[in-house]
Amino acid sequence: MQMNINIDYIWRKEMKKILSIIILAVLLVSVVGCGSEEEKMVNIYTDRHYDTDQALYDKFTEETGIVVNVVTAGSDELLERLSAEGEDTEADLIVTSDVGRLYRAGKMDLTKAFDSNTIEANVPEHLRATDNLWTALTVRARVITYALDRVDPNTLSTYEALTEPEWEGRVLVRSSGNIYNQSLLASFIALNGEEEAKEWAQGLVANLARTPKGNDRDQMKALVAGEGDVAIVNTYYVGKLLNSSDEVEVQVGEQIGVFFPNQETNGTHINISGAALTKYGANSEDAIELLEFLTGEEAQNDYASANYEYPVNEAVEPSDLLKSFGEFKVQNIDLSLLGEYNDEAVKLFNEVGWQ
Amino acid sequence: MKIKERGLSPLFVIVTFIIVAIVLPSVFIFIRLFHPVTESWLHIKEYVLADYIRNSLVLVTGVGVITGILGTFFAWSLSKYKWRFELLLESILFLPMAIPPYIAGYVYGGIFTPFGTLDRILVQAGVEPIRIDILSKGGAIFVFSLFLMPYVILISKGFFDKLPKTIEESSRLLGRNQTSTFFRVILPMSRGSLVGGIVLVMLEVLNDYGLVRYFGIPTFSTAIYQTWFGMSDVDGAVRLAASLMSIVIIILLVEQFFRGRGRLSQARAISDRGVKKSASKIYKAVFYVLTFVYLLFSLIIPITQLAWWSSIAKQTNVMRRLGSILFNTISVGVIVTVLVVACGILIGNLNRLNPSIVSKIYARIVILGYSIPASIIAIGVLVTFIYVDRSLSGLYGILDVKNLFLTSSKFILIFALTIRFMAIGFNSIESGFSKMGKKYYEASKLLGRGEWYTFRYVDFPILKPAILSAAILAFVDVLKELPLTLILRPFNFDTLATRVYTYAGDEMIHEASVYSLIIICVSIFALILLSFIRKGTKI
Repeated sequence: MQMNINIDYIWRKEMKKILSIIILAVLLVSVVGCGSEEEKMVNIYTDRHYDTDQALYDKFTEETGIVVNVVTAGSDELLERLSAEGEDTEADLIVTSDVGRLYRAGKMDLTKAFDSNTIEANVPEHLRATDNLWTALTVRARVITYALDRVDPNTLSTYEALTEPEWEGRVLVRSSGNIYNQSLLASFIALNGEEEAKEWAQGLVANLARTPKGNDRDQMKALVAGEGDVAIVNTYYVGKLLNSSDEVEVQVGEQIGVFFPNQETNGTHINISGAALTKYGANSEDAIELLEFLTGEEAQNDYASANYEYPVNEAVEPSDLLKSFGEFKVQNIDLSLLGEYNDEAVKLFNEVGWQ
Repeated sequence: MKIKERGLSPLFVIVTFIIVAIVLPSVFIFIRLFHPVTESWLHIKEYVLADYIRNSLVLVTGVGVITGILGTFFAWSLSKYKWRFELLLESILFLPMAIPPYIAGYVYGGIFTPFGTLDRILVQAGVEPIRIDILSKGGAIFVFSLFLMPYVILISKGFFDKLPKTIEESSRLLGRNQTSTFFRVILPMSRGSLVGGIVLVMLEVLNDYGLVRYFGIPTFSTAIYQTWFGMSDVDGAVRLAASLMSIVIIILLVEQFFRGRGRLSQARAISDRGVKKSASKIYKAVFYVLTFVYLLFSLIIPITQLAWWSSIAKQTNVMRRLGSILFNTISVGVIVTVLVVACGILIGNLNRLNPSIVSKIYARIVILGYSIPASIIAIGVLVTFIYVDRSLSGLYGILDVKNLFLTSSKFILIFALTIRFMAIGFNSIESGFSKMGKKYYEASKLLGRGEWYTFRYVDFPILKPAILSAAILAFVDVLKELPLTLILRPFNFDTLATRVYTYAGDEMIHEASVYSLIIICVSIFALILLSFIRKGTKI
């Protein structure tokens, strides 16, 4: 080994190192550095991650000059972040695609009531919290889809009827970890009591065509493939399937019928996407302005047409696709109860072995 | 000199700081262990925990065994024998790790689902569709193994490459045949690095939540998230995570204990491996077939599927702000990689130069950040940062910055990612240090060279392959990291992985594919860059 070290050579090597350290430092500063923000703005924590939402925020900024800043993540993590940040939080608005999380935010004392005649005019009472702690932005229904070639819709009636012996081995549904299943069962707890809700879950598990797995789209594909005859899914995903850029998915969608259960009884289960003001947000007024915009006709039209969700503003019609499913009677229930009974629903699922 | 070594060396102090930084968020997690036991914990324990743990064990064992055997085979073959297009082959074998397992889950789900790609091909070919149930435990083991194998290959190969040829020669001279040499001599010697790689893979499986949820396999992670999300019981969730963490730490300590006895100090570690030989014909055939099959399932099929999905993605908005997304992703990736490697070297060096019980414990603590689901770490980091911010509020008042200055900056993200992936960097660097010994270090010191000089011109060149492996692993892992980035990011901060989540979380797999492909492209680019560096610095 040669130990003949040229000082000059080493010096040059060191220079290279110093240079790369400088580059790294610059990179660090440019990443970490923060801009000056003196403009009006609304900061949102949201678990809705749709391009349509961003487009609406952009539109709002264009109209009002109020900048909308967004952090998207899971709603439970966001609530935890909001709670940890406490009085110092920068977030003004929390948006979730499940009413249970809005209810939970209220219970954790992270939100405050809004005071706006516009929102009250835009959103019907049953889609707002009674204390105005949250308001819905859009609605989705959890329906029974069936194979058009095999199932006569006249044999369908209620969610409860799916637990009858005739449906044994024919029902498809995703796992109980999914929030929409949880809110469905929570609604049964609220309407019929824990005992009956548990019986329903038990009965449904007994009739499952396979272990719950995959997402809503997968349930519908399995349905058309003949693995089951009915599937419990959200209307939203039926729309997604029918408007897929994949032709085969569209064909799958066309072999599916949508049935609104419990029309003769207590109505079809819905869940909402909604928003609440954070308790310590500094820009509440601008946030309310955004809520007024989002529940207004223009934005509601965009929600309805782009995302296959039902609008909350009654002046706005659902998209043609949703209208083609027909009108339906909505489950008559205080939506906050879905949040209140969520924990219990999860436990019932575990007890009856609904994976 | 002896006295100096016994005292608190600067190295020890720095490493202690790093360790404290790693431990702090976990402390905030462990504190919750002492909160009263909640009702949901009892419920989980009564109804589901046993099942979930069993599922976790099945997955972890299956994936551990498969990646262990195949990964070692690939690593050993690449290291020992001569292959055509060796460098290319090597880089390609690392590539599957650029595809996050949960995306791979969607890909294979999409292939085997009714009306999926396989069905369509079979229908085109006029064959009756067959039903393969990929959304099952077997399917999950298959997918995890495919996309986590590179961790084992990379770390083991780093070790094999530096194994002196003399060991093999001695064994052969003493009458062992090739197979017996490998199993009785090489394998026991390389146990440390092998275990290092497999442990990373197993931890990755253990704290995955995306894939198992889609596949409908409830695991220990499911229990954690069910307690948190489903029953709004954060304390209960943290308790579960903390018990998971304790189990992992115990296992690692036990492993370390056994490893400690079989440790060999390798003074001759840098001796040349000599000219590589060609493998026998049968061996070659087996290697090529296995490589082809592996690459078929881990790269060709998924990339083709992703490319096809990308091509039918609705283009509106998909490419929005791509420039800033790329900048965010790559700059955070580079910074975290540098930090991870630097910390890994410091801790590894301490462990080599001043081995003590403390330094050994340090080395195990590093893995803390990797042993529990990321969302839980995120809470720990968040609480830590808010605590620091609040303590600094006086200073912030003078500087006129906002209250949660650090928490709302990218510092928190970089910090969290660094402690998360410290295990990745450290495990491969440690396997580099472990066979290095300190003879050269001591020789250099005796010749009057300083610490920095010795590191730069003596240790560093020997360590370089291990450092490069660590850098690749860390960088690619940051590229695809999701839970921490999601929850700790500042406003309007998107990375490639968060964009994937945005679409995949909404069952918009076509659009998600676009970003998955970009992640793969960036990883390829990084791998090429690193293989150039490696090639240019052969010693």
